[in-house]
Amino acid sequence: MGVDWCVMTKGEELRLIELAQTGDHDAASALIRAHQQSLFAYLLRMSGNPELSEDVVQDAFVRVLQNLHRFDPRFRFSTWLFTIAKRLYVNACQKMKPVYDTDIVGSRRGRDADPSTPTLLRERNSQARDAIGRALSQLSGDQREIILLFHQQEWPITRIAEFMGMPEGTVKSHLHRGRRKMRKYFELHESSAWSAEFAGVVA
Amino acid sequence: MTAQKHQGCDGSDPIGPGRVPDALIDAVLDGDIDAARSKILYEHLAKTPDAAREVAATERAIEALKAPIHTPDMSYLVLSQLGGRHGFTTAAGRRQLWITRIAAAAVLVLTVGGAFAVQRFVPQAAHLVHHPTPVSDVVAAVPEPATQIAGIRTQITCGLDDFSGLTNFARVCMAPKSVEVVAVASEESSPITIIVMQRTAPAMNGQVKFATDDSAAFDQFAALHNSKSEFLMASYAQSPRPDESLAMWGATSGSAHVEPMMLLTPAAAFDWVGLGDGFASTRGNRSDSSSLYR
Repeated sequence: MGVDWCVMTKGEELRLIELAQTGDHDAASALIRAHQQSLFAYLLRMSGNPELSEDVVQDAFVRVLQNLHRFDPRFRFSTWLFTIAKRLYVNACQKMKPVYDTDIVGSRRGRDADPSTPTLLRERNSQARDAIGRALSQLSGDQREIILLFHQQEWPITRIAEFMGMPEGTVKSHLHRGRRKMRKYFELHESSAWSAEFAGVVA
Repeated sequence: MTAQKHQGCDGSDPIGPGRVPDALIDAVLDGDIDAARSKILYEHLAKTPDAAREVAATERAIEALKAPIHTPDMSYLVLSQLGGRHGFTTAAGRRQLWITRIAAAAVLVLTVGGAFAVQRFVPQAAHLVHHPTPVSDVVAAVPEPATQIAGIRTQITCGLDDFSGLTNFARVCMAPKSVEVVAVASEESSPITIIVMQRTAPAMNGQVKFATDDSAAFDQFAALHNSKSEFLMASYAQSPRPDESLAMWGATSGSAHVEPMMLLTPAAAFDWVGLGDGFASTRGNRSDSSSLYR
C-alpha cells in the first residue's frame, strides 16, 4: 500500500518554491498542505505528543519559508523540511522532555473517522494504532525513527542513511532490530488485540 | 509435525518447522524478496501458527503505521506568522542575502578586473596554462640557419612520424651510406622529441614515451636499442659511439618561449642550434652539456 502524502511532481514543487520565494501566499500554502500531513504523522509517531508535533510542524514551515532562498533544488524539499523539523524537535525535547502518550496517537483517526465506517472496524483500527504506539515507545530513538521513515514515509534505505548520517548497513540493522523488538512486544503484550486479524493475513 | 523443509531466501538456509529465520522475515518486510520465495515463507507460516502470529502482527503494525492520521491544516497559522511583502525572508535574512550577493559580485568584479590587469600589464604572467608546442610544428619551424651546422646544407620539412623522411634527412646530413631512423621518443607534457638514427640499423625497432626526468623510462628506451650509453649521450649531449650517428631534435618550452633545437652529432664534436627568443646558435663539445638545456 502506497502512502500518498504528497501528490505533486518535482517540477510542480520547484515551481511552488520559486513562487513562494517571492512571497506568494497561495504557493506557500500549497507547499504546506502538500507536506504537513507526512511531517505531522512522522513527528506524532516520534514524540507521541500532538501539541508538540503541531508546534514543531508549524515552526518548521516558518523556518523553511523564511529560508527558501537557501534551498538547493538539487535535493529533495521534503528531506530538507524533515531535517529542519527534526532539529526543532530535538531542541524542543531537550527543553520540554515530552512524555510519549501512545493512546492519544491512536485517537487521532484519519479517514476511518468517517461515520459510515463500521463501528467495530473503527474500534479495531484505533486499538491497532494504540498498540503500535506502545510498541514504538519500546524502541530506541534511532530504531523508531528509522522504522517510521522506512514504513510510514516509505523512504528508501539510501535516503534514510543520508538523512540520519549513518551507513546504510547501520540503518538496516536498526530497522531489523527495531522490527524484531516490535514483534516480540506484540507477541508478549498485544496478541489478543491482533488475534482476530491473523487468519486473514496468513491466508 | 512433519519434517518438511523449504529453501530459504538465499538458497542455503532451509526453513524447518517452528523456525523461520529472522533474515528471511526481514527480507520479506524490507521488500527484498521475490514473490515465489515470499510464497514459500507464507506456506510455511500457515503451518506454524506461533511464527505466523508474530509475522502477521508485525505486518499489521506496519500497515497500521501507514494509516492516515488526522492533521489540522496549519497553512493559515504558518502564514499568519510570516510577512510576505518582501517574500517570507526575515529582515536579517534579507540583509544576509544582500551581503552574500554583493560579496559574490565583488569577487566576480575583482577576478575579472585582476585577470584583465594582469593580461594588460604583465602579459607573460597571463600564460597560466602552458601547452606544449606540437612536435611537427617545431620541425616545420626550424629555419634555414639550422642547416648551417657542421657544413650541412639541407633542411627537413617532414613530421617526426615520417620515418622515411627523417631517414632521408639523416642520410643527407650524415653523408654516409645507410642511416635509418630506429626510434622516436617523444614526451607529451613537454615537447622533447629524440630521434635515434643508426647507420646500420635495418628498421625502426622501438618507440617510447617518457618524461625528461624519468630515468627509468630513459633506461627502458635505451634498452630497446641495447645502447643505454648511446641514448644517454644523446639526451645529455655527449658524443655517440663512433659507429652510430645520432640526431636529436626537440624543443624545450621555457617560461616565455619555445626553443626548438637540433643536434647533429658527428663522431667527436657536435653542434646544436637553439631557436626562439633572441635566436641562438652555439657550437658545443663533449663536456658542454648544460648549454643544451639553456
